[in-house]
Amino acid sequence: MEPLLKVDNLKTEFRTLRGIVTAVDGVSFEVRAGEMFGLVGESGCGKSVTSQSIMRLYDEKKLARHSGLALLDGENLLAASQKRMRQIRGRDVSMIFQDALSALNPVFTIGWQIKEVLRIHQKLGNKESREKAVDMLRLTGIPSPETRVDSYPHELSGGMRQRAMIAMALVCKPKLLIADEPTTALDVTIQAQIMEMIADLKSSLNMGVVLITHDLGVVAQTCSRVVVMYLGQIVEEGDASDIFYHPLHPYTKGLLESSPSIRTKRGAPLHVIQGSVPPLDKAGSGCRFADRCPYADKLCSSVPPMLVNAGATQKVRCRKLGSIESGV
Amino acid sequence: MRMENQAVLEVQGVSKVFSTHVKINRKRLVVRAVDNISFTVRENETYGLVGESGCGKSTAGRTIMRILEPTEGKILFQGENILERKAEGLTRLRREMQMIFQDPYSSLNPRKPVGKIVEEPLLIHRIGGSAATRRELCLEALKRVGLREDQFYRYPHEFSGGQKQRIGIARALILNPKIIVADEPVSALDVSIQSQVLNLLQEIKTSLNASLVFISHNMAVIRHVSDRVGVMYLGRIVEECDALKLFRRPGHPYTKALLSAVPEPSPNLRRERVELQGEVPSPHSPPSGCAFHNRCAYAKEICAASTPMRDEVEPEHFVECHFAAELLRVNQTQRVMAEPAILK
Repeated sequence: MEPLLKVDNLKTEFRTLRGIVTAVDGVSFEVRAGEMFGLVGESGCGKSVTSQSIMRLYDEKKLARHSGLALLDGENLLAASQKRMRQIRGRDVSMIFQDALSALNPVFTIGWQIKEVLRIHQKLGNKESREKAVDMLRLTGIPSPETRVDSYPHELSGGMRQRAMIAMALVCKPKLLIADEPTTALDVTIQAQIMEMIADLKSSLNMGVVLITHDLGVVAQTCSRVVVMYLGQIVEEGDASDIFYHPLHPYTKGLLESSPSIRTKRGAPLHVIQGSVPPLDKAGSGCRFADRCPYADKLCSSVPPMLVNAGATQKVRCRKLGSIESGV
Repeated sequence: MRMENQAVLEVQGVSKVFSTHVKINRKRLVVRAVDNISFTVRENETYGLVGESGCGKSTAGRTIMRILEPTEGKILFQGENILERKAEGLTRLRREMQMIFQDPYSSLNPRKPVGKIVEEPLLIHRIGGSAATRRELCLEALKRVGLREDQFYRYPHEFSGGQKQRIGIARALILNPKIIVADEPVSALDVSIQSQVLNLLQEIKTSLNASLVFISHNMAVIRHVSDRVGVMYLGRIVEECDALKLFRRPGHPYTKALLSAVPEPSPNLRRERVELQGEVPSPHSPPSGCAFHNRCAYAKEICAASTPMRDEVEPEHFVECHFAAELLRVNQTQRVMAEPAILK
């Protein structure tokens, strides 16, 4: 099956005061229709930049430069004109954000904002688009959508706002949804409701979803394939069950072992990844994780490792792979 | 045995009511942020307070510290009611009770170098005598939290989030407090940094022989650090029990739903979810009777009519629910959260 989205060797560079910084460095992955795809990493690893580059949301005149391919059904989004991108955004690809309050416009009702999408993309009239907006709000689980459609964002709770934003993103039935930390600001019980809703809509619309998050638990519960990023590079990729049960990269292992969960022993010291994520422009020439890696030797910090196949579904960027597995 | 340890802090029937400027029918609208809570923190123990946003856990933490004055109730510290202390006595008390805040960015003075921030408690409590001794103490505190000597003159903005939290911990530990109240100390941090800070807190707690009140919304973190846990919902502690027992066999339907909503980082462990309808009601007008009854799967008529009392269903296991005993019997057969299987 042809992938819905194929990202190939995506590179995003930013012009900063300290020179050119490569925030995303050669990222490749594929998302299929009806699949939930997880992009995991800590803050500063480039997961949001990846998604916003695909959506072409950066100022390309002054700030950012892209290279590589991002093929949506064969069309390269990175080469599309801004006019073409405006047609694609909201209709073929939609995005939802962490903070719904700042993503929604405070001076318009949520109904107006949902209708705007329909007016632009489907040239629908007022009455028709209002009906569709109400339907969409109902689909996202907002109680009494007929009255809620006239509410302003500040009148809704955090969970409701998130639902309204999702309704706005999905009203044109896009092929691909990019969800950038959609539940990070929410309580666990609301998070569970929202994730369940996204998963349901994903199946009923047969849409591909890119879920960007730092929460390993959310990914494990929803995604079929996972990519782990560190400092702008993919360090490990594979099926969710492989990533979570047989992590190969020392960083993935560290992340899993350092988060308290059923697997960790209560009260015992947690596994620790030494140090912290260095600034991007301080990344060395070799493996970017070398400074914090318990297995690293001298060569690691000078020879950049490649992303190589390991097993049927997994890819890993680590040159010590063999020796780590054999327990040396 | 932990059980026989002496109580350091006893919170008895404490409430905190905020009044607002909004008036309805000439009556001021009030919010009972904390509603008649009682719990005990024992020596060397970590007491976890867990709940969703708006449940009053932070208000509870601040009330214990007397950053907020409780509206009613008693708070006993080593047997003495601290609410009767006046200014001078309160300052002396704060030597024994220190707080660590959630947001390391706003809880450190941006215009003071780190050394001065950590030194400030010493100045306030007139400890250390000469400037040289104080400096020694500060350097030692910084070293204990894993910061270097040469960072003494740096300013907060030069540090990362995790390091800032370490500074906050250094400031708390320099007075050798008996109790540390940590309000969401790791929520603002990345996973790999979170584990560093959690380990550090544990270490400090042990070396000071202090007790820790750990406030968090993260069930996994609470499970990891706490000896006993209080679960809060709409200002009340609806369940309190030993941490292991709570996670294995929760008594209150809310705890059960909360636990089942926690996503575990194991794809094959997709738990049976206890669906929780709707959202937390507004604390302006909490539901009648049991505050949870309108979202509860087991609710019956009595739940809307009368407020359930705190009931000791098993030794050391308190639940505020009319049907706690029955539900526990049902739960005996189905475990909600599995026993920790330690990797390797």
